Amino acid sequence: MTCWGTRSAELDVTVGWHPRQVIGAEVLRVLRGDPTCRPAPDVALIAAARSHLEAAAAAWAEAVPEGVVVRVTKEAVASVRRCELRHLDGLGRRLEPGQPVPAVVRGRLVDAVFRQVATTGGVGGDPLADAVAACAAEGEPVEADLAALSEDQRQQVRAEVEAATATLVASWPTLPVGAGLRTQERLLVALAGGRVVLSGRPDLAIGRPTRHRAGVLVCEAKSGCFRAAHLEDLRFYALLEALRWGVAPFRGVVWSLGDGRLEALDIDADLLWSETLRVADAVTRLTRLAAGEAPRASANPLCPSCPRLPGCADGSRQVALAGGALLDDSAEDEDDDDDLAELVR
Amino acid sequence: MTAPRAQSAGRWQAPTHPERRALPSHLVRAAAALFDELPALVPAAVVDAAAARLTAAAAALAPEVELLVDPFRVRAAAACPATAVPDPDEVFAWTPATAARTLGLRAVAHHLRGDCGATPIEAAVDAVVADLIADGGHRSPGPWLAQLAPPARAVALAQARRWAEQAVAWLPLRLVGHRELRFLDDDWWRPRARTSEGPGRWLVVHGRRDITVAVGGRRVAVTVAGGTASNPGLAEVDALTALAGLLCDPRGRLVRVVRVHPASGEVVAVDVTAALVKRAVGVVLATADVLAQALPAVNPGPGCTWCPRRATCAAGTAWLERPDRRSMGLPLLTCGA
Repeated sequence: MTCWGTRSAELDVTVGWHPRQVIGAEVLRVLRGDPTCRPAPDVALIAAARSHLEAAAAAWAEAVPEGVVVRVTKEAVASVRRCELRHLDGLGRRLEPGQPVPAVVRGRLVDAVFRQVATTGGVGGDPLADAVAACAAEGEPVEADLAALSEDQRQQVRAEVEAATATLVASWPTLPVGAGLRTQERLLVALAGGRVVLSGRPDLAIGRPTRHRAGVLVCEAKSGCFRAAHLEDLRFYALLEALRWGVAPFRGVVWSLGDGRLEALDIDADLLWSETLRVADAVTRLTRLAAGEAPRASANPLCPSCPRLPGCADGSRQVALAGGALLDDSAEDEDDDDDLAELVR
Repeated sequence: MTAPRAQSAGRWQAPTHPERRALPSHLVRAAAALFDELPALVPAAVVDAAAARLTAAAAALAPEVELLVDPFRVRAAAACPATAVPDPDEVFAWTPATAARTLGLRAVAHHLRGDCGATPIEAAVDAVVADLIADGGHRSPGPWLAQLAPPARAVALAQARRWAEQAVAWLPLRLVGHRELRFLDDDWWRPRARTSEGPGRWLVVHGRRDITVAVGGRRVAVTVAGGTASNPGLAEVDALTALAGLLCDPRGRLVRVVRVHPASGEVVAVDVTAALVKRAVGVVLATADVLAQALPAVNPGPGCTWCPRRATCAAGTAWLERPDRRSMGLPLLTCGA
């Protein structure tokens, strides 16, 4: 099997504000990929992926309390595999009222602009006002968050939203008539009789599969710079699309408006199976936590900023190994003390 | 009493359609649910008996009571009875989400009706919106669409297009002539005459059919649902759809209810049988009992997360703030969060 990997589509075309902006025709070329190489439906692979995920969900699903649905999102998959302890801690903190983060506010506004550009081809004279109104119409008002930012942050968000809008309007291609464009479409895959639900909502899905080949493209717009984690999002969406249609999408594309990168990911059997294994691992962990089992700590690069670090032996070791904060001996297992002291020296 | 009707002899076979062989796998499943092995019509006596039971239940209601049993209330009564009782201050208002179904289905009809091939969905939605705005009307979303600012209208258009695209993508409607399709049918049934006990007693049964497909002399009702097929209460809604469809059709031609979940790709087909009708009557009566209660029970659960009455519901708030939710891996929510 061929592993297509990622393919960068950075171009040298300079249009408008951004030095590495891509133009509509090139964007369309990247979105389409090579139409002659779209894979045929692999029924056996999809069936194997589903049964593997069902097996992962079944391990703990019976122990999950009645009425509780374990929702597996792209964020949950990444978070719980990084560290179960931090994941559980984050769940408690996620919805607590707090100071809004400019990047998150910007992301929601740019998503709204992207949706509007993809649907109508343009926005009004004040992109920020349009984006705020669109968020309100969707039932996810962003005005309060925007108002809670400092004046400098607000101006920065405005500038970034306007820049992203200029890029989108200048670069988003005119899609063929009848392209089957769906914005913010919910993707759900129920496992273990609905006790576990894989859930995702890509920014844009285009097309639909035919009998002989894949026909769906998944597209994500990011307001910030490109990160490798964005490709994990695409893989997750590809798996959900595959399980839903019975045919995997032929391609996923992430457009990072912060640095103008347009990254395409061709979906093949290897990629789909590796994603199945990753999600199955997360499903097992999440259902185990939902069943009331104790979370397991795992050292990871985010340990230095973890609020549970003071009482976490693995985290402290990670920080020490990374040359960060001083090791807290009281948090370590006795057996590891000598080795760690050696490492710190 | 409804007129006696001919009983079907044996199973009806779907006509072989050359296009059906070329369908992708997800549409093959939907086509099978729509056309294959349709059951016989439900005997008229069964429908008459159901109508009689509901009429008797209406007669037993307190004077000046009007109960509406619709899909929302059936699901709400099963999950948390308190949310099923209508809020007197609640006023219906169009939103992009509520308008998406109406706009989307009208657009699908427009899309399929194209004289020179199919009208693209985008163009069909635009045309439907333009028509609705021009026509106006009290119960139409036209006036609401007309006053929307461009960003809000873009959101409404996007949701309507998604709805229509999903319906077209998940239902093999091209296999059916457009004359055999009906869109946006609502079945409203109430006892034929006011009861002698008092003038104000009503029990109204409301079923919604997104699309109705005529297959030979029978009808298949199609509903497009969000979420997954495992969501609770959907089987009761199917039963209600079947009952309302039978009660409102003197010829009782509804033989199957097909529920399509575009988000998960699931297709659920429920045959309309005497047992289903009996069960549906039970669902209606149980819901009516809940609606007639002065103080319906509160049953907090996962649905509290999205409940519009959470801000004033102590039980729901307490459930959401339960410490063991954290051990379940669920987020802690606070009222109004």
